Formats: sequence, C-alpha cells, structure tokens
Amino acid sequence: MLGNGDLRGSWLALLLGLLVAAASVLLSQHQLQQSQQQLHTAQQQLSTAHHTLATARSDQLVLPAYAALYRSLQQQHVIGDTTPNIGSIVEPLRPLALDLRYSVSTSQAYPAPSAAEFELALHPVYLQLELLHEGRLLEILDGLRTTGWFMLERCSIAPAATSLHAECTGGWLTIKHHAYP
Amino acid sequence: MKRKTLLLLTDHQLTAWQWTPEGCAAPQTFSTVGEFDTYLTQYRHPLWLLVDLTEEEFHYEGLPHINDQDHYAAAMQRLASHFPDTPLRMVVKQLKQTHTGKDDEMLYSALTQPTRLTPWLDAIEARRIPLAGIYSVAHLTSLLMQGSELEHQLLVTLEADTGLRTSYVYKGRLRFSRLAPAANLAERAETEARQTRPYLINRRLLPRDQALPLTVLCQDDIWQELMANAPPDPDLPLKHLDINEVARQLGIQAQLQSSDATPLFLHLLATQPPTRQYAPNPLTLRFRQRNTRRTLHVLAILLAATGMTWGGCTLWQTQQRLAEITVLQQQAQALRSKTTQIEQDFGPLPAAASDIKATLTLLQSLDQPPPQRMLAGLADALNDFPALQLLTLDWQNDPAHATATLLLHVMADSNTTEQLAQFRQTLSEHGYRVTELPSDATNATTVLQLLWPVSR
Repeated sequence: MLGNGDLRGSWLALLLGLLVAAASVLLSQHQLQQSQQQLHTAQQQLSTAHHTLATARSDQLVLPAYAALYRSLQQQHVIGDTTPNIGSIVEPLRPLALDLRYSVSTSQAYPAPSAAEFELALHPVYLQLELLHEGRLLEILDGLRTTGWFMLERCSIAPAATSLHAECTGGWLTIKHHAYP
Repeated sequence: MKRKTLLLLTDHQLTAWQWTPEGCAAPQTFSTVGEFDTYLTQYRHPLWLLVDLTEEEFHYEGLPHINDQDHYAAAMQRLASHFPDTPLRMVVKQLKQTHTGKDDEMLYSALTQPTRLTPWLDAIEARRIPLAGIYSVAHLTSLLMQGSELEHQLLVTLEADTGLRTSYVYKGRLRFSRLAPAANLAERAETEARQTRPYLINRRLLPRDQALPLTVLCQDDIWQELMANAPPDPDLPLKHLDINEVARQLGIQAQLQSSDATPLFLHLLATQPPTRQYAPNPLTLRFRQRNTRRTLHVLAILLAATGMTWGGCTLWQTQQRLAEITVLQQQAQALRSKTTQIEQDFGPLPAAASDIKATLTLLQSLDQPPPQRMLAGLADALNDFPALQLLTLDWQNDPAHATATLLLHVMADSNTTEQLAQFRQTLSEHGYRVTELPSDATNATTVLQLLWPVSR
C-alpha cells in the first residue's frame, strides 16, 4: 500500500484540478444556458416585431375606412359613455304611422361573447303602431336603424278593423371600451 | 522519465551512469559507500540498480495451472521454500498454459548474498532516493534472444567488470545462467559451454541427445579468433551474434569498440526494464509513490485543462449566441422602426388601431339583417295563396343562435287544408324551415313556425 501521507499533496492537487474543471464546466454551461434563454427571447421579439409590422401594413389598407366608421359611430353616440336621444330618433318617423306610441326603459347590460374588454348597454324601447300596411312597418324599422345601433328584438303584426296593429320591442346598443372610461 | 541514474553492482564494485535518451554519460565507480553517498547528494534522480553477481541462483519448474489467486499463493510458497534466506528473490511465470493437464512454466531466482547489496541500499534509503528496482543481467540476456528460431541455445556474453556469463535459453525463455570470472571470450567461451551442458542435462533442462548451439555475442575479430581455435563439435555448434548488429537493433547509436555487452544491458535496463525484479515492495515504495504523484499531478493538469478547454469552447459558443442575439435585436429594432413609421402615417386616430378593429368587429358580430330579408319570401308565398287569411305574424330575433323565428297564425278550415299544405311546401321552397305547432282546435287557427338563419 502506498504511503498515503506522502501522496496527500498529490490528492489535493487532483482535487483542485477536479474543482477547476468542474467550475469551468459549470460556469460556462450556466453562461451558455443564459445566452440560450436570451437568444430565445430575442427570437420571440423578432417574431413579434415581424407580426406587428405585418399587422401595421395590413392596417395601412383598412384603417382609414375603419377610423372613419369609428368616428361616425362616436358621433352617433354608439361608442362612448353616452345615452342616445331616442325621442329625436323616433319622432321624425311619426308621419309614417297612423298612430305611434313608444316608451323607453332603463338601459341594461347587453351580454355578448368575446366582449370582456367592452361594456355593452342596451337602451330599450317599446313601440305600438297603427299602420296602413305592413310596408310602413318596414320603413319605420329602417328609420330606427339610420341613427345609432338599433337592434330589433321582436315584432308582431295583426290586422285590426281598419289598419294593421304592430307591437315591436328593441333598443339602441352603446359600447364602451374599458381602456377609454 | 528523461534522466535516470543506472547502477551496476558486480562482485567487485558499484558503477553509476547518468542516462538520458541520447545515451549514457561517463561512468563513475565507487570504492566506498561514502563516495556513493556523496554522489547521491549531487544526483537525486531515480535509480535503476542492475546486478551482475555470481551469487545468483535459478530454479525452473512447472506449477499446475490453477486460478490466479491460488496460483500466486502457491508460487510464493515455492519461492520461499527454494530461497528461504534472502528477501531478494522473485518468480517469473514464463508461460501460462492454455491446455488443461499441462503446468505453467515458472522460473524462480534469487540473489543468495543479499548482504552484498545492503550498504548500497542503506545509502540510497538514507538519501531518500527513489529506487525503481533491482534488476538482473541474467534476466536481461533473454531479451537479446528474442526472435531467435533456435529452440535450445546457450548465449555467452562478456561483461568487462565481471566476466563471462553463460545463459541457457529455451524457446527464448531463460532457464539458467551463471557467471564465471574470465576476461578472454575467445578462450573461455567454449570451455564454459562444455561445463554447462552436463549440468543442464542433469537438471533435465536439456534432453540428453540434444545438440546445444552456442551463440557468442562478440565483435567480428573475436569471432574469427574463436572459430580458428575451436574444433567443430556437433553437440555444441557455434553461432555468431554480432554485438554491433544487436546494438543497432536495440537503438544504440554509438559503435561499440569491444565485445563488452555491458552497454547493451544498460540500454535494455533504461529502455525495456523487465516487469519482475528482486527488490521487495518496501524498497521501491518511494519510486512507486513518485510515479503515483506524477500520475496524479498529470491527471490533475489534464482534468483542469480538459475542464478549461470545455469551458472555453462553451464560452465561445456563448459568444456566438450573443453575436446572434445582437443581430436579432438589431433586426427587431429595424422592424419596429418601420412599424412606427407606418403608424405615424396613419395620422391621428380616435383610438388605438387594435381597439378600433376590436370595436368594429364586435359590433359587426352583433349586427342583424333587417326583417325585410326574412319577410320577402313570406310575402311572395302569401301572394300565391290569397285565400289564406293571416291573423297574426310574430317576428322574434334570437341572436344567441343566429336565427329568427316567424310565427304565423293562419285561419284554417276544411276548405283551406289543402291550400295550407301547399303553402307549407312553398315556404320550404323559399328556404324556411316550417313546423306546425299545436293550436287550440276551437279557434280554427293553424300556427306555423318558420325558422330563418339570420346569417342568410
């Protein structure tokens, strides 16, 4: 058996060599791993930048029209924290009916899928109409749609003695984005 | 190991050479142990001790072929029994049998006067010089016969400081060797051979009727002299082994000036030391520790170098990655600049572009086609059936299912049954899904449910 005392220094040297090797390997591997993660991040950022540029180029074609429509809807009080003036919309249609009566209810939340970032509200209206013929009903409904975002829920028509009696429910939709309180 | 101290101990003196791969320096001979001790203070390289002594004995015998552990124990036991009075002994397994029933060939040998070495070994131990081993000239002679085709032969060599060594070699393996004080190779070679042959026959190392070629290692002039003096003998045919040719084959550059084989043995000791030698483990401990230390140091350096090389390569890879990252970041920045430029060209927007698109997309998804689209087909169908009296028409939008429902309350009597059926058929042809709902029979009313997908 070799005298271990005389070899102690050599074993320490071997241990030191092992430690140096291990430290070199571990440190460099750590650096490589970090750089790998940074590379992955940089690749993702480049991909995102590509996607954003593609989106911007796509928007370049359609956004002017979209922006004009958006402004129009803002002016019609569809977009924003606003309540439509239902009377100003309905009254001009009175000449189309023999008799027109309406009532407005309190606005209520309007549920819609995939609309988590929006707040939709429906401003309900109930119409009772006496009409000469069913064509007038269609004209009145068209008139309601010319201002704001009118959504018809239901209508029923029944012949009366000298006219057509119609009852319709619907409302105007307003939409507000949470980012723009 | 680049530098070694070679020692040659003969019956008369101890001589030392400093050996390097280029060859041996001038020898230094020691008359006293004190001179040797002084020498050791100057030269502290590891020592290879070669002995060329008359008091060296050999014993050849077979050992049954058994497993390695038992074989070793049996060999040690035999060695101790053959040479009980000296620690300087060794056994060499010359041939391991592969066939069952045959014995392994074992050569036992020893230095029978160990006290002759004691003063020199004590001086070495006192100076803590590593001793590689105690080697025998006799055992080195078999290395000179490697490649020989002769089965039995005697090899005669001359060592200037000791005499004539006669070694019996069987198939290249040493069986016996003895040293005789003599200075004249030409005169004494044949005589020594004639004296050795009967001994070999008595010891049953050589078959009785077997001719024994005598190979003489010498210069050409000595060979010529030998041939002139020795009468031909069929039992002892002479063969010449040119000492310079052997030296050249061993790699000795210098031309030998005499037939003294000492330079050959020193060269073999320095370059091809045998595995087995006479020094017991305690004597060679320091040498083995030195080797272990060097091995551990080399291993440590290799490990560190390997680790650092690996680390260096990995760092290089990391640098490559970082360079790649810089390029990608520059590319991404360039794209972002282009995007910003495009967005600036939009001009002022009422909201963020993504919000504008999201808002309009949501509103479009909630959009309803006007009832006219659904009623157009109904109006056409009713025109075809003026006899049918429509009592009530209910229109109901169902945005959750993207459909609209029309409920028609139609006056029904026995005269209109067939017309109602045709009316239903006509409505189906216009794309409505028609279902007749249960109605109160007393009212004479038929209720038809018409479904119309809002998306159409």
